This record gives sequence, C-alpha cells and structure tokens, in this order.
Amino acid sequence: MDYKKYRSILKRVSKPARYTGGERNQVIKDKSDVKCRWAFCFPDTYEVGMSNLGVRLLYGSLNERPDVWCERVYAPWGDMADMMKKYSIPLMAHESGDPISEFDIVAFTLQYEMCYTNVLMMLELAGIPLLSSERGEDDPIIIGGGPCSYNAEPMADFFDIFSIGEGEEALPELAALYIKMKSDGSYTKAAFLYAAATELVGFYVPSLYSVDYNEDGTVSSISPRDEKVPSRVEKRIIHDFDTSYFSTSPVMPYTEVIQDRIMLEVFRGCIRGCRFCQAGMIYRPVRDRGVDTLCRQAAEMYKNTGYDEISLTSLAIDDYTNVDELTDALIKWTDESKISLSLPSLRADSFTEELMRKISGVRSSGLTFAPEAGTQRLRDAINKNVYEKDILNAVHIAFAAGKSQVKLYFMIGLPTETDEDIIGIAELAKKIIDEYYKTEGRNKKRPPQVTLSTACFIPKPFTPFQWEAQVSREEFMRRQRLLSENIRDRRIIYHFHDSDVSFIEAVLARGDRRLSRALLEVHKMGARFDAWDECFDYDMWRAAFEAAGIDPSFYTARERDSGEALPWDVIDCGVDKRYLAREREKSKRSEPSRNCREGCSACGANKYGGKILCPKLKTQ
Amino acid sequence: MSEAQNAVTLSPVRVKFTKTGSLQFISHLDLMRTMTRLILRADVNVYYTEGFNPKPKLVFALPLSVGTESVCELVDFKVWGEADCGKIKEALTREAPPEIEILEVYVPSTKFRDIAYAEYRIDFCSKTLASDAPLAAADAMTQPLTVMKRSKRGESECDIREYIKKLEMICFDEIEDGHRRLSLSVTLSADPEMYLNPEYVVTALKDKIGYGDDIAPGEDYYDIMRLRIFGADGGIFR
Repeated sequence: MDYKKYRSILKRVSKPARYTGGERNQVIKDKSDVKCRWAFCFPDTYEVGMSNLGVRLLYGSLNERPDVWCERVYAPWGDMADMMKKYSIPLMAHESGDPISEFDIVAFTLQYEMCYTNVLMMLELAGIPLLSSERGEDDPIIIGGGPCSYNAEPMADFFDIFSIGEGEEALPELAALYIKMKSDGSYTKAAFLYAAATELVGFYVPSLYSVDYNEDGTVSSISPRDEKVPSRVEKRIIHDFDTSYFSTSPVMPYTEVIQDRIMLEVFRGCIRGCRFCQAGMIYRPVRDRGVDTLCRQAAEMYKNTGYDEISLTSLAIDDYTNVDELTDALIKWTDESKISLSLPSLRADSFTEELMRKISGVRSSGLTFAPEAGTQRLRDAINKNVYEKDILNAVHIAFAAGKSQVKLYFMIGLPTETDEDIIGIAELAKKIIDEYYKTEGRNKKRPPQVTLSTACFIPKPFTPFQWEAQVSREEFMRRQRLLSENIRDRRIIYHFHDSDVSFIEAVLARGDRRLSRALLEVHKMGARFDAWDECFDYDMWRAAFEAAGIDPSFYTARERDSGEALPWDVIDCGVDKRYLAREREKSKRSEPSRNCREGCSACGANKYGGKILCPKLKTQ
Repeated sequence: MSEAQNAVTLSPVRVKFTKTGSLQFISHLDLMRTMTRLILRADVNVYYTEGFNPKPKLVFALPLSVGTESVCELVDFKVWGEADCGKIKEALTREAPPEIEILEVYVPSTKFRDIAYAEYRIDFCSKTLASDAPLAAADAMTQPLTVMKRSKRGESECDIREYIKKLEMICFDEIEDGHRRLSLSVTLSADPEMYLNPEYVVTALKDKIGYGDDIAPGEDYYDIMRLRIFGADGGIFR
C-alpha cells in the first residue's frame, strides 16, 4: 500500500503495519515482464495469513516462473475495511499496491469454513462481482484451494474453479495454461475453465456439473456436463518430497505474526488414521523429507531470515521415521547459535526423555498433548491409539524434567460418546495431578496445573465420521456443564470452545451448493471475521439461513446412511469411500485400526506411488 | 578456536539509525524484533541475555510512536571482544532495509538516562490552513495548551506547555494540489519522567491553525520526524 497516499488513514487504524508491506524477501517484478498476474488472498488478517506455510510455498512456486507475478493479499481488519468502503479504496495487492480487480487470477486459500464471509467481503472491497455467473470476461478468474476446497460446494456460486490437493505443481500449470490460451488467442473464460477441468488434473469447475436433489433434500446425483468432464476430480499430490519446491527465503514480517519463526516441513501426511481427522485422510499417503535436505533448508533459512526459533511442523512430528537423527543433527548447531527448537505436535505415546531433553535445550515452554477423549473405549472408537499409560508416562517425563504445567486437548460430542466419557476427562486430569506428586525430582516450588480444553466435534467430509450427526447446541452445553461440574480441583483449569460457532462450521463443512444463498445473505447482513469470537454473530447467521429458506440442522443433526450420495462425492481425495465406511463400522465396535507403519488398512492412497510411499502396502 | 570464542571481554556499541518511510508504522516492539534479526543476519557477535530465554540484549534510547519517522534513533548492545565499529556498520548496512539507514556505529561515552529533549519537525499539510497559521501556532504558547493526556494514572487534562521547550516555525508555503504547509520545529521533553509524544502537539494545535483533518486520500495530512536528541546540558546527545 502506498503509505504516503493513505498515511492519514494508516494513522487512524489499529496495527497499520498490517497494510504497509515492503517486507524482506517479498517478490517484486516488472509488470511489463509478466504475462499472468496472480493475487494470492488469505481471507483472514495479515498476522494469520503470514503464518501459513502453504501460502509461503505457493507464493514461492508461482514466482519461480518468470512470466508469473504472484502477490499477497490479506483481509483488512474491520476498522480498515470500513475506511476502505467509506473512501472508495479498492482492495490492493501487498507488493504492487495495484487493485486486485486488475489481476488475471485471484486465488483464495480456504483454510477453515468460518473464513467464507471474509472471501465475500474481500471480493466486495475489490469491486469484483460476487457471483461467478455475474462476472464478465474482464473480471479475474476466481480460484479456491486449501483443505476446505475438498467440499467447497457452499462456495460454489462464488468461485470459477477450485484446485484440489497440493498446489505446488498444479498452480504453475494452471498459470501456464492461462498464458498459452491468452497468447494463441483461444482464451475465453469458459474455454479456459473447460480446458483446466479436462486437460489438467486436480481442477474442479463447479459450473460444469449439475446437482440434482431428492424430495427429502438429499443429493440424488452430481452430473458432469459432458463426457470429457471428469465425473470425479482427482486430487494432486507432490510425489518426491526431497526434490519438491521449498522456499528458504520466506517473506519476513516486520510486525509480529502468529508463526514468527522458521517452519520446517518434515513430512506431509499422517500414518495414524484418527477417525475424526480430515487432515489425516486428505494428505495421504505420508511422504518424508530426508534429514540432509531438512538440515540444509534449516541452515539456509537461518541465514536468510535471522529467526532464532525453528519449529518442526508436520501432523505428528514424533511419527517421523528419523526423528532422533534429525533432532540430533539440528541440535548440534541450534544450541551453539542459541536457536530454540520447538516440536509443536507431540504424541503422548511416542514422547521420550530424549525428546524432552532436546526441546528444553535453549528455551523452555509448556507441554501440550491431545488425548482427544477421556476414556480408552472412546479413544479406541476414534482410533486415537493413545493409552492412559502413555499419557501418564509422558507427563511423568515432563514433570521429572521440572515442568509443572500440562495442557490437554479434547473433543466433546464425538460419535458414541456417553456421560462416562465426559467424566473420564476430569478423571484423567486428576490422575495427572496424582502423577505429579508421585514423580521424583518434580519442581516442588510450584503446584501442578493441568489445563483442559474441549473443542466441539465437527463431522468433516472424507473422514470415517462424515456420515455422523453432530450433537445439538443444547447437548454440547450440557456436556460442557457436566465436565465443569466434575472438576473440583483448583489445579485443573477448564476451557471450552463455543458451540454456536461449531454448529455453523458443521453446516458449512458438509454443506451443498444451496448454501451459497445463505452465505450471500449473511454477507449482506455484514458478517465478517467469523473465526474471531468478537466478530461472530450467531443470530445473524440464523437470520440469514431463514432468509435463504434453509434449515441448518438438515446438515448437522442428520445421521447419513453410508449409501447416501454426498455433495463431495465429486472429489476423489485418494482415500476409498469403502475404507471410510469400514472404519465407521469399526468405530461403532470401539475397535482401533493399525497405523500405516504397523500394517496396511487398504485406504486406497497407495495408488499415488504404491510401495515407495506406503511402508506396509497390502495389495488388494 | 576463533578469536570470538576466546574473548572474555565485552565491548559496548551504539548504533545511530533512521526509521523512515513505511517503517514509521511499525511499533517499538516490532522495531526491536526487526533489529534483533538484522543483527543475527549480519552475524555480529552480540551478547545475549542470560536465563531461560536468551535473546540478543538490545537497549533503545527512546521509544518512537507509530506514525513518527526518525533520523536519530539509537540502540546499544555489547559485542564479545574488541568492537570493530567499521566492520559492524558494514555488516548491518548490508542486511538493513532502505528505511533503516545505519548512520553511525561507535563506542558510547554517555548513558541514555541523560537524554533530556528531542527535537521534531511537524509538517501540517491541509487545504484549510488559516492564512495566519504561523501566528496562531506561536500564539498557542501564550495560553494554556490543554489536551487529554494518557499517563500511568489514567487519562487526564494536561497543559502540555511545560513539556515544550521550544516551538518555532520552519516555513509556511503552498505545496501541490492547493495544500498549504506549515512546518514547525518543536523541542519536547524526553526524559523518562516527562516524555511527551509529539502527537499531543498535533492534537493541541490542529484546530488553532485551521488544519482540516479530512483523512480521505489526497486531503489533509501531517508528518512528524524526530530530528535530534539533546542531553540535559543542551548539547546534542551522542
């Protein structure tokens, strides 16, 4: 943003450094040298968007092409958005300050459902018509991606195209197609979208499919427009994780962002198969990066950034095959350079004294584990594969190392959950307190503290629980109260997540394209930043559903039959629906499954590389 | 073993630098983070704080509020061994963004607590500035100049004249797009007990001089630049 032109406004808004740009390692190109201008929008604040590793990767991989200039765009906070509306300031790209309505392609990453209203706010601020059907040849192509694009049907009316799966290779291919069609004269918006859907892999164009519904409101069929349009859109994945693109010169924010450190992506995917977890399914199969590659990337990033903290980011870091070798190699120079190493996603069952020692090297922080459920029966039903003895052993190690605070994450409302499971959460916390007093060498200066957080379970597409009902808001509140009443120890602190937001999120997560109407209504009523407690307005959402003639509980309260056509059946996430159904049945029997390293459950993701990627492949 | 590891002595270093352009909008905390990373990239052998969370130990002379530029910021740190100021200046300059110009690196002989005043240039640019704006500004100093001032004890009405050592006009002219510009030089108290943010001077003067305060792009605006820092003896603080 041209700070001189807008300085009087910048002096009035909160955190103006969100808008001024000019960060180290940003990519500046000459507009006249490029043939495709790409605006990469993150529909949340600068601090959140700058923390996203996926955006860093895609920004870098698109800008590798000399004929493409990808710039960043973030959602202006409410005070700035109001100023922009009042003074007719269009939404601008961070690097050039040019209005994004002038760009060729405007991309939104959809990381969570509650950012949907921000997408609409940003399109409005940009002066781009919201509905795909109302945009003309001169308007940018609007593309969506990220985890929510696996079922972005509620946003189908607003987007021209979705990128399904990992974008490091797919997005540059799409840009290349755009440039080719523009230069040979074959470009029209319709021809481009059709070519992307039929000639490239991993692109879903909602307007090329018609959706029919049964009388009871369920989907009856999703039909491609003609036989060239794929009946199911296959996701894209990166096969070789050692040679794939990785940026070692991330853009360095001046102002503090959430992940303000080196993020090292150790592996992608997860071997576990927790039945509630969408990430554990859609990123299959698991792909490791070699220790040498990781150490080289870490050293380069340290040199390029001056960050003094490295975070090993992956779904469950201790599942990495070479975790000891990697942490040993990193610690050799991080200790010397006073860099702290953090391992943010530790599993209780593989937490060792050695890992504990390594992470307490330079900087000390609290420990967090996610048992997800309070009893072994329910942990088996969700296939968490963590036992009480693992949890007690993990906290014992932490207490012995001098820690006195532990945080535990749980979900309430999980399928098959009973009051016994809820009370089990409080009992587990009590056992942890007891474990503290049993630990030799504990920190006797401070009393122990156990913080429990419960999120509300939201059934997500492409999980074994995709067919399950969500419990009602009233029931969530009853279970939160029940847990609260069972905690009578001041050393145990309990936080819970708001069930109203979780209800709306659940509607959108498994919604169909009829929900676009409701999203348009709620946008018109002024909804924005719904992922922020201070901005979310439940009553506004209820009113919007009513105005659109939609019953939201149709999407949340109904248990689906495994044979029901689902709005996201048009996407092939690499995991077989039959596998998901098998896992669903096992959960009803509280029967866990082995992880990918112990044995193959035939999920179907082996089709992306068979023996190379799946450690214990079972041939079907 | 390198020379640095052998060294047991610590040498103090002071860096004088600018914070201009778009970087006027980053906060003091942001500046501290930015400086820390700059020093680490420059591979300066800086002294770290002790304890659980070791960080390069940086001490800044004066906070600078968001929306104010400066050409006289000072930061102190220590390096292991002898301080090669020329080399440090070169390394920092290599890693610094254009808005942070490394002006000088030297061994300090003064303490930040001896800072007494800071001089600012305030440019009011407005289409509605009164033709007697310079007079009005000078006249302002003859009567109580009250603003709502925040302090540790909350917000209260305060006559800021006791914080203003000097207020002078630099120029009054016509600039682009029908804007008039009134440039003032103000010297304000900057000792830790009586620090005055120059924004209060803007607040106190803008109505008196006819500043329009229309924040729409292309309308009224003001700029503040910290020019110099003075010691209690009235000499330039170094």
